[in-house]
Parts: sequence; structure tokens; C-alpha cells
Amino acid sequence: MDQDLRDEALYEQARRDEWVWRRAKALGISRRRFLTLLAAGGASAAFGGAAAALVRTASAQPAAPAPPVIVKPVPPSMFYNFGSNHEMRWEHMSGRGYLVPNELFFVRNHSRTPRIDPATWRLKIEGSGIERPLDLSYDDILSMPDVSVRRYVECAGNGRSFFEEAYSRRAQGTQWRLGAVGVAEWTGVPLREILDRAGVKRTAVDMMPEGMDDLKVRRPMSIAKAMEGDTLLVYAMNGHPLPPDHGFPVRVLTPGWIGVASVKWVGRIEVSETPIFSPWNTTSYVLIGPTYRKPDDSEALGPILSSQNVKSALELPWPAQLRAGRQTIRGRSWGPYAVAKVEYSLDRSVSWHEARIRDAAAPRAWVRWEFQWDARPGDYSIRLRATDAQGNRQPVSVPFNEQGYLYNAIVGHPVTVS
Amino acid sequence: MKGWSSLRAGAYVIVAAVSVVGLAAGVVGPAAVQTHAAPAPARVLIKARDFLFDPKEVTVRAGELTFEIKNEGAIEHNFVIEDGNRRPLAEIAIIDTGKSAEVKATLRAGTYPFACTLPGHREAGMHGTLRVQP
Repeated sequence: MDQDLRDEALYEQARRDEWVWRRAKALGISRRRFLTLLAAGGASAAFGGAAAALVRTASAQPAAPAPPVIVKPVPPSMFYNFGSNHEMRWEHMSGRGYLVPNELFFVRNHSRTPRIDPATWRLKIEGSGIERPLDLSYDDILSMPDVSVRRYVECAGNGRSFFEEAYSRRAQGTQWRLGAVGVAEWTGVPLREILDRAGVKRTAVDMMPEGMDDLKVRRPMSIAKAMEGDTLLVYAMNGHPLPPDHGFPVRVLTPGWIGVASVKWVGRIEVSETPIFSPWNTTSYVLIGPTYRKPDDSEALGPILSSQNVKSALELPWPAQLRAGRQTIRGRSWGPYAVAKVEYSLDRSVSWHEARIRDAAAPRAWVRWEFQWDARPGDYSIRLRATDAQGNRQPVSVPFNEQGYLYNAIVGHPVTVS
Repeated sequence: MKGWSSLRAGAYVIVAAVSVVGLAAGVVGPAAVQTHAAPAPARVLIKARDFLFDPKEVTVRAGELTFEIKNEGAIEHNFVIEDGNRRPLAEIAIIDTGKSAEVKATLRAGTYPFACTLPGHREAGMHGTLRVQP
């Protein structure tokens, strides 16, 4: 499987599977029917080998005596293992297309991946901020107008391990490098469509999706964020039904915001006329540290996180071993605003050079970029800094915060050329 | 795993050092988890599970203490001894599944909460009380 991913065969397969789904849609077959066919294996007869491969992928999960913490295969060749969290190894994105395949997408779960039966699953919309409480089925969601967007999702703590390098003190939480991020094509219903059907009041201020995992992750957001056009209730990822580890049957997508706001396995949404607080915006996902002040107007222990910041990564192993000679070095930069410029330094920030951006810049997504390097033998530290359309540039340092969020300072990627 | 030191004004002087320790025989057994009269430094073994600490009530004598936390859960946890305002006095920032780590702390007599501060874990019941006797 590892080799398949390296030569992009599986990636291409995913794109074909997506095409099969779209063709099914064009033929007038509902998603519900298509998903049923996939589950039964009948789609292979209807649509040929591509769908059959998808069925094989879905049924290839190993049997285990106890429910696995993560459902999909997470081989160490593709991921760094942090228990319920798994970090993508960036070298697997080398030479790939724009999207991260579902198989390679990082996993950040607060507890064990829950298994949810879509036949009995319900989504309740309730609270003081709506006129009409809703009780929706999976079919109800699938029958609503859908939108597909390409957006990144990133853990608020991506890059956390670099706090220890900078401050000789480890921040609390998973010690990610830079692989807790990924771009996928997300398909779902705009949350504002659902809120409109529920008769959202003009006086509503907050809404809070609630996950069906063991910890019932509940991360509030403003109504303004919920009503943005690309804030979705997602049921498909890269053309596939949302995988269990990524939120099946539905998850929220809050582009540009910290990943926890994109709540998975949603079973309830509370809409309120008063601000909503939960552990996920009071004791966690807040900035606590000597340079951060506790807000006066909430019970949060520090400034509440919402928006992400601009970051960059190389499509190389950590550390990397390269052969001497002229070669192309590739990477990606992302952020809540469109990335306007990416620079690199091979001499520890003495001189900076501009990389060639290969994609049209878009907010809440990433750009692929590259530069040519005539590498001579030696030890290097490749440094990157991206600048977004708002003029935000990756800084030299980020103040320490105890829970290790939003580290986007310039880091040195160790590379040995021989 | 690097440690960190902290000097806090007022009642406490805490020196914390974190290191991964082995799981072989020789580490302190469950019986030693209870009251420690002497000698110092006392060792306290606490098991971290999804989502509780065992034991969740610990009584020790004041002085230099070593806390060994064994993560027996399926997911990551951490261990933070706090003051009354949720400020960390000593901590192990993260403990991998199946691993143990330890932190040293010198505590004066008093009552201190401890918790796993990873998102949602404290609220799910992963907290306890440390009583330090004179």
C-alpha cells in the first residue's frame, strides 16, 4: 500500500472514484443510492472497476478484538503515531496533486473514533437562537443543496514541538512538527442553509456543534462564521463518503479556523441568543502565557483562538538526506488568507530567495511552490517564510503559550547533502 | 525529554525535571502510592487511563517528590500539578501511550489539584487531589 501511494496510483484511483460518483450523479442516481451500492459492493457492477477498488479500500480494515482507536490503516511509513493522533509524513506529498488523499490525511481525534450507523443517526438543531427546532436524518442532509470546496484543515497545535526548540520547555499536547494539516475537497450542505430552515433569529449570536465521540467535543463559533458560504456540514471528502476517522456521517468545516472548530461526528447543534462557553473555548484552545491576558468578558483562561495563521512546509522527510547536484525542492504554504509570496533561505536566514508558486493563490487553501537548488555536500537548515495577501509574514519567533498553539515561526528543516 | 525549572513568587519553590523512565521491575509499586512518611525524596506512582487517574487522591509528606505517571490508556495524556488558580506548578507536557514519565517537585504543605490538561480530559474526570502534609 505504501508503494502504491508513492507512485500516486492510489491518488489517481481516488480521482477516478470521484469521477464515478459524479457520473452516478449525472445519471440521476442519488448519493444515498450510490452509498448504498458502495456498501453492498453493487456499484462495481454498475460503474466498473474504479468503484470496486473503492469498495476494496473500504473493506480492507483489519479485524481487531477491541475497537481500534483509529479505523483506517496508519502505517508508520506514512504517519507519526501519537495514539489517537497521527501526523502525516510530508515526504508522501512529494510529487502529488493538490489534494491530500483520505488515506494520508492527518488524524487529530480527542478520543477513539466512534462508529455511527447512518440509518439511526439524527442531527438535532435546537436552542434559543432558532424559531423551529429540526430533527434531520442522513437522507435529509443528502437531499439538501450541496457545495464542494477545496480548503485546508489544520490542528491548532500544528508545529507545537518547535516551542521546545525555541524555549527549552515543552508545551502541553501532541508534539506535532508540521504534518497536522491537509487540503481536501469537502462536499456538504452550507450551515446557513440548515440555520435558515431552522429559522435562525436575528438575535442569535453563537452556535455550537456537538460531537458524538466519547468526550462530546463542543466548540462554539459565532453565527457570523456559521453563515459564511464555505462553512459546511460535510458528508463527503475527496469524493468519498466521509471516512469514520474524519467525522462520518457528518462533520462541520470552518475554513481558516483552528481544526477543533470543524467538529466531527456531529449529532446536535445548539444555536443561542447568548454567548456559549464550553471547555473547548475556555480551558483549551485559548492562549495562556506571560504575554497573553485573560479576557474580561468571558470565563476563558486566555484569548480564545479562532483564525489560523500562515505556515509552510517542505515535501521532504525530517531530517532529509539528499544527493548532491541540481534538483527541484518542493513544498506548500497555507493560511486563512491567500499566500502571496514564499521565500527560502539556505544559509540560516542570511539571504532569502523567492520560490516559484505553482498554483493560483486562494484563501483558506495552500499553494504548491518549488525552487531549484544546486546542492553541494554538507549539512543545511532550509528555512521558509510565506507572506499572505494581508501582508502577514511568518515571524522569527512566537511567544510561548502553555498549550502550544499557533506556532508559525520560521523553522529550520535539517537536510544533509552527500 | 527535556525538563524545565520554574521559580514562582510566594509560597512555592518548584523544581521540576521530566524524564522518561523504564517500565521494568523496580519502580515503586502501588502500595507506595499512599502516605509517604520518609525517606525523601518520596516517589508517587499514578496510572493515567482514558479518562481517570488511579489513584485520584494522594497524600504525601512535604519535601522533594518524584511523580511517575504511567499512561495505560489508548490515547495521549499529560499530568499537571496546579495551584488554586490553575497555574502549573509542575508538569509532564505529554505522555505517549504505554509510556511512563516523571517529574520532580518540591511542595510545601497544602492541597493541590492535579489534572490532565489535554482538551476535554479534565472535564471527563481526569483529575485528582494531592495533599501534602507538614
